[in-house]
Amino acid sequence: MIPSDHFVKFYAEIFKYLEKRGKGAVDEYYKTIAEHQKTHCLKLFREKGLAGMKEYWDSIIFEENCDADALLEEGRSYTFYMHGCPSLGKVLDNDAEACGIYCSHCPGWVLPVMSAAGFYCVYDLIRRDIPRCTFKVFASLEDARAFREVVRRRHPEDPGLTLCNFD
Amino acid sequence: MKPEEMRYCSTGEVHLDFHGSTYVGLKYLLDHFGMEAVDEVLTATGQKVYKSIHERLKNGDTSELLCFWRYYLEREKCDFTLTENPDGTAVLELRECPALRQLAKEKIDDRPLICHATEKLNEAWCGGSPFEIAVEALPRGCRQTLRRKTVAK
Repeated sequence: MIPSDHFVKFYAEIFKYLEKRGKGAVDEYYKTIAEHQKTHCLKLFREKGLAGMKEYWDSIIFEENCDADALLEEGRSYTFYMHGCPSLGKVLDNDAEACGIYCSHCPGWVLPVMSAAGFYCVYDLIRRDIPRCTFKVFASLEDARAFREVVRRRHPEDPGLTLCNFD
Repeated sequence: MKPEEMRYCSTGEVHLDFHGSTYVGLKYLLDHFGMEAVDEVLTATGQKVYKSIHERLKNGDTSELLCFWRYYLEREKCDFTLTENPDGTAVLELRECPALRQLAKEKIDDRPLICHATEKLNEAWCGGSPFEIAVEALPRGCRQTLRRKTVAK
């Protein structure tokens, strides 16, 4: 049995396998993960909105031992600041070789769930080889677009670090 | 071996939902690419991610695997007994498998695939070593016997 503590190391091996089979295989897997994650959090997001997101990720911060902060601006936005991602941290602390696309799985499931919940989300992956990122969820599309421009300006050399679920 | 001497010694909270995520990954590979894909990923996990356990077994040393079993099953609050023998062999009596327990909570009933993953991971660990792990099903778990391979006469 793979202990739940080591799931992410197995996860990275799945992504390596799928990457060899092309982007379509990876994207299809993200859809599958998103459907599974909807069973954990979509009802909460739809019923409680941004406050429900804070409730969900506060429990994740605790259960997954994240070094993270979250800011809720009720009715406007929810921001998650990951200072030390335990998931990527475990993948990097690994006798198996690194997985270059590992970070993408997170927006890979979060963005479709946000779309299903009716919110606009922008990710700043910062870098793929350090365990840090930020994402911000907005009730307003206009606010989300404005924030996306801020994030895009941070990464002119790598547009793939800015991800969103709109436009 | 002490837990802190293992290659990976996780601490802090345990996020049991990850058993469901493991199942989703296994099922995705099976449905889209077949059992060969499941086995390829599990073999890579067993021999690359868990290189330390695998290499030790190849060198006749079961200490990290036994420590791994005890440490992580205790972290998952599992009902089990691990009987270790002086020659490094052992019997793991897993009366309630934490993965099956968690998946039941998520209303996922696919014991064959979960148990296949355990058997394949065991096989990967023991590949090229003098050991093998025999798995017998129990009502809510299994009995895993780590023993020396028998040489055909």
